[in-house]
Amino acid sequence: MKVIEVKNIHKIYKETEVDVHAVRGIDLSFEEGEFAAIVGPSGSGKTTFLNILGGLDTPSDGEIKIGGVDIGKLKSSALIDFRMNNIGFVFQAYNLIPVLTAKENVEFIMHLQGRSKKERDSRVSELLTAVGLGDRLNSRPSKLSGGQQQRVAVARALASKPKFVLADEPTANLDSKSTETLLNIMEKLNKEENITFIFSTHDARVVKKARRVITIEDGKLVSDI
Amino acid sequence: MIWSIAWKNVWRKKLRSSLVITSVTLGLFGGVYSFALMLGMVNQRVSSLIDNEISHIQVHNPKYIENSEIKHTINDINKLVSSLEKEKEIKAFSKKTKIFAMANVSSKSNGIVLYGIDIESEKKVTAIHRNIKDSAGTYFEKKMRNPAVIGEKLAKNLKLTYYILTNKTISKLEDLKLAENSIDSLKTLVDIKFRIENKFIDAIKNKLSDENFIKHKFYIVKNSINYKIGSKIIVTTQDINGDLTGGAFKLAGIYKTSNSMFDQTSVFVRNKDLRKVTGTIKTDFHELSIILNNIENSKLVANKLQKQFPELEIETWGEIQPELAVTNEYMAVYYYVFLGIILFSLGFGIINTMLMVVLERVKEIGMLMSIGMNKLKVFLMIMLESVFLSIIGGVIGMIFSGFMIWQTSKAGLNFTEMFGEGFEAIGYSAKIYPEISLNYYFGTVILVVITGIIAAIYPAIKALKLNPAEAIRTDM
Repeated sequence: MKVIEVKNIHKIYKETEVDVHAVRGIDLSFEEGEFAAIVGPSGSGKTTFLNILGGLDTPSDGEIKIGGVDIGKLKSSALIDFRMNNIGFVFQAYNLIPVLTAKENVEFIMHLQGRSKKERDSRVSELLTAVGLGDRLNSRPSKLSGGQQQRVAVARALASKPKFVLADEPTANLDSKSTETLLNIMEKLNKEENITFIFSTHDARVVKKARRVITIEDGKLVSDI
Repeated sequence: MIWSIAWKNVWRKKLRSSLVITSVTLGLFGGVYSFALMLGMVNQRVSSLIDNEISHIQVHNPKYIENSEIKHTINDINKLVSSLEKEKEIKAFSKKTKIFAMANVSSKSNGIVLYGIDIESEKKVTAIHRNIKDSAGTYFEKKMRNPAVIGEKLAKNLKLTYYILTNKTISKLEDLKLAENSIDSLKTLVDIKFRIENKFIDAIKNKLSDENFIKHKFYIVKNSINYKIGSKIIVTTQDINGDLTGGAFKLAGIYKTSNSMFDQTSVFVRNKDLRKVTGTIKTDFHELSIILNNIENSKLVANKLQKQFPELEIETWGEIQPELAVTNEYMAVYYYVFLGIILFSLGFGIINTMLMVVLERVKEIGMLMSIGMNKLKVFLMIMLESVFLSIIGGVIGMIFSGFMIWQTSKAGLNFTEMFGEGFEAIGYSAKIYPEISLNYYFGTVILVVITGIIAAIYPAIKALKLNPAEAIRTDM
């Protein structure tokens, strides 16, 4: 089943001097349960494409459907709600809320979704256990290592039961051991829970694990292996 | 959860938040406490004015208001009195003769207002009998011919005072740790009678160092003053026919209110004694003062009486002293304007802090918006943090000011030594009992919350303008 369908999308930034054509007609689709990496050099349009995939930016032309919904046509407020319910984000710098514990960070998005306390408690516990932090529920981010924080971030991304998880350079700040642990956890979740992961990365270790590698250069799709 | 995050965010930078909270606390304490002082002053002035001077309602012949001649007495006073006796709202009333006169004692003279009163009725209406100074005679209690009770200020003007430093006063100074050599110097003045205050003060000054003189002058003078009780005061005035007349009265007692102008001009004598001088008859009265059970009903009762007696001028205390009534009425407005200005300036401090908060948390706000926190919730989170900051400071400030008001209202703040004369010259007591009602506290809480909300608007707009995709990649 197709989770994401991207049809001939373009993104042009209107600058004062010249227009910048960051994405030039990419066609792609992602099936449920994929474990894919998007790679490309700096300035290749990779970040812009990822922003469009994540509903954080809208294409200048073309169509992007997530679960059959053309998100380019959604209004700003509807898009926010759409992101909350359909897309999980993992960021390079973890971006946990420092004043909240691991448990609270994970359940925060479920609060936004209006889930019941019972549901929140069981899912948070289940997710943090899945990422190997079942014993660190009440630790604040400052008490966790970088790798542990990123695992909390993965749990947070999954808390809302999204259609896919978009991870932007998730291993960029991690050492080898933490990277390996994180990738193993995500791979396991992908295989066992059929969760779709899409990475943007420069990291060869991530590329090695990915079952599909998409290369973007100069805003165009160069390869899709 | 938004509330919980906002609350936890307040304590993320403890020092910065504490500084903002402290500034709100101090600002509010300053505002609330100084207002309580002012309210205390005004309320004391109103109480003193009503208790000692004008009561709740006054009745006059309208012609007397225009031209205070002795002949303009209240018409048909008995009819008025029987009507007042039936009115349940009226607690007490007192009829009096009120004429302008000149008081003379040897070479000194002073313009006065001479009140001819019925002592028992007057005691129920005014508080002058409670304001007789210690060791300064009595309120018509001691039997004497033509007794007169006058104010302290008038006594000083007419030189009806003298000063004697006693060993008792000096022994108190010893308790106050005045140096032995100073005590010995002062002892040389013991039992010497000074007729003029300035000469007495000069004599003390010569005996003490400048520091000790400034420190103890007020106490020494206050405890050395004596009044020439029984001295004769010659009063010159007009009789009922408009001819010049006069009489001799004896100083029976000295009172002191917080209004030195009133003390300087108001002299109380028995009506029966005054009648002999002026030739007025038993039903001749110029003023009838009324005290009600409740001051709030002043207007109501005055209007009712005015309808019954259209030929009389019936005024409430607020109509007699409109400037004080207006001040009293607008105290609440004044408070909120005053507090508004304080909170307005504090608001800038909060805006500044909240702007720093937003700028520091660009990445975090970007993340929150990315994962699906809508604009309303982002706004709410920032606004709550701002409201928490202001309300914590506000509550501490109010508790602190409430405690200080409560503490100082027991004994009052005494400015007598520093500003006594100045305060009393304009009718205000120099001993202030700060006070504030709970209503003001509720209003203050609302204003503080509004300040927090308004202070959050600009920083929150800044946050809402962030592009989540860019914010998340900010290097901060």
